[in-house]
Amino acid sequence: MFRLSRTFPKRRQVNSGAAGQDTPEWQDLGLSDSLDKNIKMLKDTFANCSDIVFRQFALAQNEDIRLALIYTEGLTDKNQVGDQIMRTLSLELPAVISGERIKKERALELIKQRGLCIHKINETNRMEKVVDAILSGDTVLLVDGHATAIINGSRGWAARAVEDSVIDRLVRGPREAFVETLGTNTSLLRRKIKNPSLKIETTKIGRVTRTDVAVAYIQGIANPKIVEELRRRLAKIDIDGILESGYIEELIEDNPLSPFCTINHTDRVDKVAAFLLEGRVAVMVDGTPNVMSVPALFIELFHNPEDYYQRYIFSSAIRMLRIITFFLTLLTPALYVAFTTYHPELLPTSLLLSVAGQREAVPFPAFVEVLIMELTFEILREAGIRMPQPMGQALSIVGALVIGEAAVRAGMVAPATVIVVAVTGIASFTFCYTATITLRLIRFPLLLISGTLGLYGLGAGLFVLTIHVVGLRSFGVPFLSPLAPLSVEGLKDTAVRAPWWAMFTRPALLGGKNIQRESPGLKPDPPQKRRK
Amino acid sequence: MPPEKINGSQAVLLLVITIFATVILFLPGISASYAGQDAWISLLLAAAAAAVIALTAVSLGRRFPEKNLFEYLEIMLGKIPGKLVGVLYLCWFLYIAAALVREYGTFMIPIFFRQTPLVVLAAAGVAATAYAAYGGLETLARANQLFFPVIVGASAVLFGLALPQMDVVNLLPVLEAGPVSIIKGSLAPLSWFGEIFLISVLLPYLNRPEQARRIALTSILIATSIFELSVIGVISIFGPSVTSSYLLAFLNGVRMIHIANFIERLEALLMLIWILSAGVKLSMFYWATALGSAQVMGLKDYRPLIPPVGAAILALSIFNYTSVMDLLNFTATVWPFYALTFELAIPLFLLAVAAIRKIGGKPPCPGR
Repeated sequence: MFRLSRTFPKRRQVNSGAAGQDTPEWQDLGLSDSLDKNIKMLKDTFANCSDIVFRQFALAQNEDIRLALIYTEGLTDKNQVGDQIMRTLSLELPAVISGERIKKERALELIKQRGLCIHKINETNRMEKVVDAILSGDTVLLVDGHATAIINGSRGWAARAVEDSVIDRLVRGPREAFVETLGTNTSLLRRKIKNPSLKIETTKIGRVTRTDVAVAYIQGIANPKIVEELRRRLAKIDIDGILESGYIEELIEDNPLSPFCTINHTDRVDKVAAFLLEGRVAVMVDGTPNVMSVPALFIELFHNPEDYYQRYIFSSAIRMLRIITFFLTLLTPALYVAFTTYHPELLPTSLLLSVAGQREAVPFPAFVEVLIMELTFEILREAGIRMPQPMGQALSIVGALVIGEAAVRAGMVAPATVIVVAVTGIASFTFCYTATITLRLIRFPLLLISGTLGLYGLGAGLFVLTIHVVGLRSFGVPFLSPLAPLSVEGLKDTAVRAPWWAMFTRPALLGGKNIQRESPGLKPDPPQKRRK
Repeated sequence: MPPEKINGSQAVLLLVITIFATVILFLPGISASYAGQDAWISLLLAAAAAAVIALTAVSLGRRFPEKNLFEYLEIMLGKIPGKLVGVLYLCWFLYIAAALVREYGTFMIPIFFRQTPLVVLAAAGVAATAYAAYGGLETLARANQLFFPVIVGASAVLFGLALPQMDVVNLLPVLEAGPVSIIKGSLAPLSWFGEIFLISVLLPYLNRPEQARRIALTSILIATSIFELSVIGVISIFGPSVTSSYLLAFLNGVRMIHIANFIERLEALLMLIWILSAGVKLSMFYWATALGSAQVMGLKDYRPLIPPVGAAILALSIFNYTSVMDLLNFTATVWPFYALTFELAIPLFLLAVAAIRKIGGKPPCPGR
């Protein structure tokens, strides 16, 4: 058997072992019971970190019981640290236990029981945990004579407020979208699903950034195999930093070489909640509003949360519209080139005459013409995203007037070509953004092949594309299900959306055991029918 | 390589499209030249005989569960003779694939691509299907689930739009040609129907092998219904004599569509049907050839053989016929006997060998 690997042996992997040089020395240390030693250790760890605050003071009137507060400036709620930790420990506690001498051994217990007005407290004796807590915005309280640190949940930093979604826009439905703070995001999700079965498991990924990554799923609905698989893939990640969910996406996806994205991402809370209810698993990364969910299905590229809030008849119509626009985006330029270049005889006569008349004066072949216009449109689109906001008007004037109007007037392109490009461009915005960028890319090879082999080439290209897409999987689930492999029950939520009283089951192919969504017989009927 | 499995309906759709691809090109012409307006009866006869072929293949396969044609040939006939017969079957598969490429190439050039060399179209087709063959049976079966509604839907649209041109009187009188001509007319369709023998390679991939018989018969039933409609449609548009004079009667039927001065020249739709169905069929035989070659040569994976098999298909598709007339003549006169040898004669012989030598277990019949 041919074995390429034998002829070309793989290059040895770079430092295939774990962590290595990035692991700092404090990783495995424990706390000591001397406050000075602990502070020295922390000060060494945080040498040259001017944003770490060390505040030492004494407990009540007991000068011998020394305390130290360590926190990161700007990551903690100043009022909490001042009022509820320092004030109570040094001023209010003495009023309660006036005159009583506090033994050093009891100090920790007393502080925990009566001294702290903080809602969330943890204890640890590991340096690693202490450092993590300080850097995450918690306040660490060290007590002299105790090898235990109290971690006070006092996080509070400047964060963006919960705002309208940027990616998925809708008319009817909740507006709120995820923000950059993981804690806020999990709370948004919890507010939608008030059930202890909603599990949110947090781990840290990234040797340097130590980013919080949360895996959310509903126990009993999600397929445990998929949850386990996701945990396994996340655990395998060994990278210095995670700055956005995209890092993780590329490290855990099934088909790294495909232009298609087999992981959903959205910043809408309701969309993620709906996904969880269908048995999917969400991955939330601290520092980004984009939440990923797996498994993803191809057909979801045409879905919008609003489809489930609008009446089903209208939603179904809109979905079919999106599927039409999908094919418009993919095929219009290619078909235009194929028909005008190779198969003019296949056009109805009047249409043919009109198109041929326009193209008569154009100096380029149709393929080059369309390619130039498509590229121009891509440039405009990219410029529209990147440029500083005040320039918007200039761009639209240049884009619309110069490129559209003037190019046609000058006889460089045919008006029909402009129509084709405009239709393609506008159509590509009607569905999910992930699909848009994929389609923008695939359009060009299809354009090229129909410019060289006409409709036959286009057919062959679509054949290959279909073969490619049906071969994709997202966490073991075929990307094109429920279309191929076909699941009739699943079809209720594809190109059409069945009314809620008819969608009895969750998508079965996701593999969850518990697939009953609602009890049968929910279809409302008018009162007179109920009479016997 | 994980074991690939396809379910019953996927298998049916694959087999239907496999038969469909060739038949949709040639069918009414060749049968009508023998049987005239009774070509539809020839087709029924062919379907009935094809059922025998399918059942033979299934009962052979059921004696050796989990084994495909090439594997049980060696068990049944011994190592060397088994491999030899296997090679013969491979040549036949290769021939079907190459002939398909040639047929479509040859017919598309005068209609759509007057200046494109045949080898370019053939190479593009082989390249596209190579990707499908590389993807394997499961992928192909799923893709076909998407193609099938498109193919059948487009055919139905064409049929519906051609209805105003049809005149059922063209089918009368029934049985004018006489039984011999009708049987002669059924030979060519039978040989194409007989390509359902491919099921002997698919059997081990069925997730419920006990359905094999039902799958084979359902495929034939669906295919026959589609073809009967098309044949009756075409003959009732043109009448028997004109139909038999056309190389591609379906194409001419589609060209007759003129509605509201706008819905006309729907050849593009026909081309879509052709490309998709030919793509699926070619991929199937490409895959089967590569798989069979790997098994005959004792390789574990068939994928390394995809480029050489593709090259063979491409080369053979250019060399096998000198001209369109050669192709037609061969298809009408030689091909049925060539094909039926492999579709019926050898399998029946094998079945007899198996029965006499008592090899291969009785097919297990769970739930029956």
